[in-house]
Amino acid sequence: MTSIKPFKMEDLFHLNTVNLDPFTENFNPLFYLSYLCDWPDLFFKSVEEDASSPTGHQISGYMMGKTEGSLLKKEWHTHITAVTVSRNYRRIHLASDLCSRLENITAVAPHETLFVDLFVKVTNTTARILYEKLGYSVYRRVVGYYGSTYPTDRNKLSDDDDAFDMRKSLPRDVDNETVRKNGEKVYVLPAEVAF
Amino acid sequence: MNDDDIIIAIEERRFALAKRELDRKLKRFPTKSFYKAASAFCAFTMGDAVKATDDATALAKTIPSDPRTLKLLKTIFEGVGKQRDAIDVYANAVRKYPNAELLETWYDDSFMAFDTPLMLNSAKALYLFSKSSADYVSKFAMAQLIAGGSAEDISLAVLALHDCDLERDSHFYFLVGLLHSQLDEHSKVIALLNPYLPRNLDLTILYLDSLKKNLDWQDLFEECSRLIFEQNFDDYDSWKLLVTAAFKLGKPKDELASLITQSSRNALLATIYMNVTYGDDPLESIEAYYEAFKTKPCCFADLSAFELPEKFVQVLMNKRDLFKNHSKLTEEDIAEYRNLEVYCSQVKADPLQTSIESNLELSDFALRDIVQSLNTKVASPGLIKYVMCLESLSQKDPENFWFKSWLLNLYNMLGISPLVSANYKDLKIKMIQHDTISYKLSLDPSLANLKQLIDIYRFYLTSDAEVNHFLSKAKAEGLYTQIKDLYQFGQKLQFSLSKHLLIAKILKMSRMLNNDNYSYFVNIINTNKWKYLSDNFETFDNRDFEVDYNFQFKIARLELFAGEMSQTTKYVQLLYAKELLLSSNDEDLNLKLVKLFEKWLSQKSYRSTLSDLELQVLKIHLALFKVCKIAPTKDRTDQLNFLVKQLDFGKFKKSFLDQADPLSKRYRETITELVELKRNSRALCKESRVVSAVKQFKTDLRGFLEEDTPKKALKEIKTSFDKTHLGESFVEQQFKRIEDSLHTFDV
Repeated sequence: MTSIKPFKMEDLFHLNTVNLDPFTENFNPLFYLSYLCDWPDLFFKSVEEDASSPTGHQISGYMMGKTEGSLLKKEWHTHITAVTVSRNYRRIHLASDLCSRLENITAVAPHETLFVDLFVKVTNTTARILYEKLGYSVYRRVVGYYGSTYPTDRNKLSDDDDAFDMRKSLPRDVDNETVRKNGEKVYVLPAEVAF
Repeated sequence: MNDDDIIIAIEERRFALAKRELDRKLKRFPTKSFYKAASAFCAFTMGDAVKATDDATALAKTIPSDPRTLKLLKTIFEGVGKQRDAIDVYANAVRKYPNAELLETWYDDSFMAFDTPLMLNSAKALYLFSKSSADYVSKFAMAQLIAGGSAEDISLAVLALHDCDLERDSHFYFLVGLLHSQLDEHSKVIALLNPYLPRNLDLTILYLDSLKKNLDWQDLFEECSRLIFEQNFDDYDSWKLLVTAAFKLGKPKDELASLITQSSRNALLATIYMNVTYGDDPLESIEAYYEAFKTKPCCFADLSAFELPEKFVQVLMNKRDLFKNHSKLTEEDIAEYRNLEVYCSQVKADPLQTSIESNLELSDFALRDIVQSLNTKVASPGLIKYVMCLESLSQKDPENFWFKSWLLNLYNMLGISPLVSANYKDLKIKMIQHDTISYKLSLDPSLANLKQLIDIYRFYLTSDAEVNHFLSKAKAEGLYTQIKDLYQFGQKLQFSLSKHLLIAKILKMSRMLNNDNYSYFVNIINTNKWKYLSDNFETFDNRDFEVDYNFQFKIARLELFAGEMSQTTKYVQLLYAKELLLSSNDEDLNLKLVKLFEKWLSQKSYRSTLSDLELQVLKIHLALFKVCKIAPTKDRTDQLNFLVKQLDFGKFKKSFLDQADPLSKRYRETITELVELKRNSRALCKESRVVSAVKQFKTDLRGFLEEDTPKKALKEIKTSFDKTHLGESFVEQQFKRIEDSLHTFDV
């Protein structure tokens, strides 16, 4: 019984069942605050009725997104910064639903972006398959994206450090110009994906 | 040096430089209030509360108008515990010199200090000063949104908003709508938001809520239909409102049912809700949901919202029996079986007894059994067995953080500080999570542990600045949908109980270790002592004591952290008073502190925050302070007799150590308290009778520690431990890890 609500800073005090997950990043307050102030409509949570909780519900997941890039350069897009779901609410397409909601919001005015993108670790096959089912495809491989040192050679691949930049075009990109086939073979450095 | 630099120098405790500059400035500008206030602030920061108060009071009587002077005076009065004078500083000034700059400073200061009553007052004063200013109307309305002022003020704010020229964006509509809602003017919210399209999530929720409260069932039905069926907003709250509105409108159930064509989880649950609302048998709809979601972890969390028909429960029980007696289960079967066990634990029906050899898919059962068994007292051999079990499960399923979280609890219960610290780090607890979970860090004094605590404190330092920046931004840009949340978040973080408990822990540990960081933290409490020791001092308890009970099997919270739960603001005040007395050589101050400390120790509301041991140790500290920190009193002999009598290790051993399991948090905490008591007594008291008692105390304590009872207890547990299920080498390895973590104390 999932309902969708705006994410609030105070939710951070009640997020342990979601954010203790080892694959979920915990950011400093600055990061959450900047998203809430700059893109409040693109930061929302899913909640479940729970009569035993003092708040009457528990948070089952959340989506943190933003819009950025230049329309002129055909880079105006929606970026999925974080999407995560509690262990107790997995395998029910909740992450997909949160992604779809973000797409639906930003595909229309006032956002009207050209595409949605996100980064996944090259080795995270499960996530890649999930996003492919949602219509995403690999646009490029960002060499050294998760590495501790800044890479200088775009041909020096490392499955542990590299990320796939996955994209899904939105209706405004009528000719699907923002996606491409065989993106796995296109290597770029992290600086080239900054907007 | 400019004026700001002088204040920075004072705050950074570069007093000689600051005083030299101030003397120079005061000679040149003897009447300038700012330099007088800065001079008083300097005295205050140096710890001379009497001079600071006298100078500030004299200056306040002249009713200065310079905003920087007022800010300093308010800080000083708050710091010395003169709350009334702090409030009057601005109130008197704006009464005498009502000007925009002064009013704005008053508002900004009270807003950023989370001083809600003053923020409301200053916002109203600003509005009354210039009713035509959109900026002041915004601030006045924002204050009502955050703090919910009187109905009269909210109405005034709404009227002013309608007439002002603020940008009509979604933030503005949210602000006006929510203020109407606070006045129960739901029809006005509807009239306001109805034409505003598209509505974002905040406005949608407000609009639906107003339609419901206004009993506007037709519009509610139509709006929910539009959201769910046209905009694909698959939101359970909207589904429920749709059903409720249809029922209230007297729509036939079949008509409503024909609309629910989706097979989503929410739609299936809404069908059950529809049957319940219409008073029909929900069995078929429950079966339909169950068939679709019987293998999903959410299954019985969802169904717990409904009363399940007896017939359905019987089917579940029969299925469970089938699974129990079936040796080969498919993955799907195991998932359903686990859900059935979740249901049985919800209704407390005949829990399945599992053992460590259960396969990984049933590991949640093992965790449930462990947690449930902790409902009654489990001795260290049992806890060690559970540790082994969870370490094994955690190795097999490292992604399951519940195992690690419960390991943290178990190591806590066993009082094995290095493994508490290691597990805390292993859980990758960061940032705001510290504020909610750091209560689990009961650590022995060591440099590594002190560093871990200070690293957590750094989070508070940076987060305060981060929150302030965005709070200012939200205030300046009129981000009304966010402002209340940001304000409350900032308030909860700035006045966090966890932060003060952390400071108290750092003070104790750094003092025991003679660490340089001690002076930094003593300065914090010394500078703010009267604020922290005042009856008005309040904190927010953001600690999360529920997290460990939210794994798939929902279990009622145990009393594992009952001691920590009782540690409230009053507990912090007691510890701060003790630390201030330990660090202070000012007899006047000490006398005030001793009186306060004695009064608190006699009050139930303060005593109830302490364990029996803590109370006993603090009573001895009180006697030490009376004998050593203030001028001799007539009961000095009684106090000395009390000290000699109480500084008896044998008494503590009998009352506390002999009652505690050698492998327990209680045992470790007792040892830490006694080591600290011995050190403080020795450092404070030079009376020969007490010195002799302390000497004997130390000899007895050292002798006791040399026996190394925890290691002996562990050895005994190891001898009789059944290693067959987990494998000998795994068990050996775990015992070695625990043994290596049991270190002795330096007395």
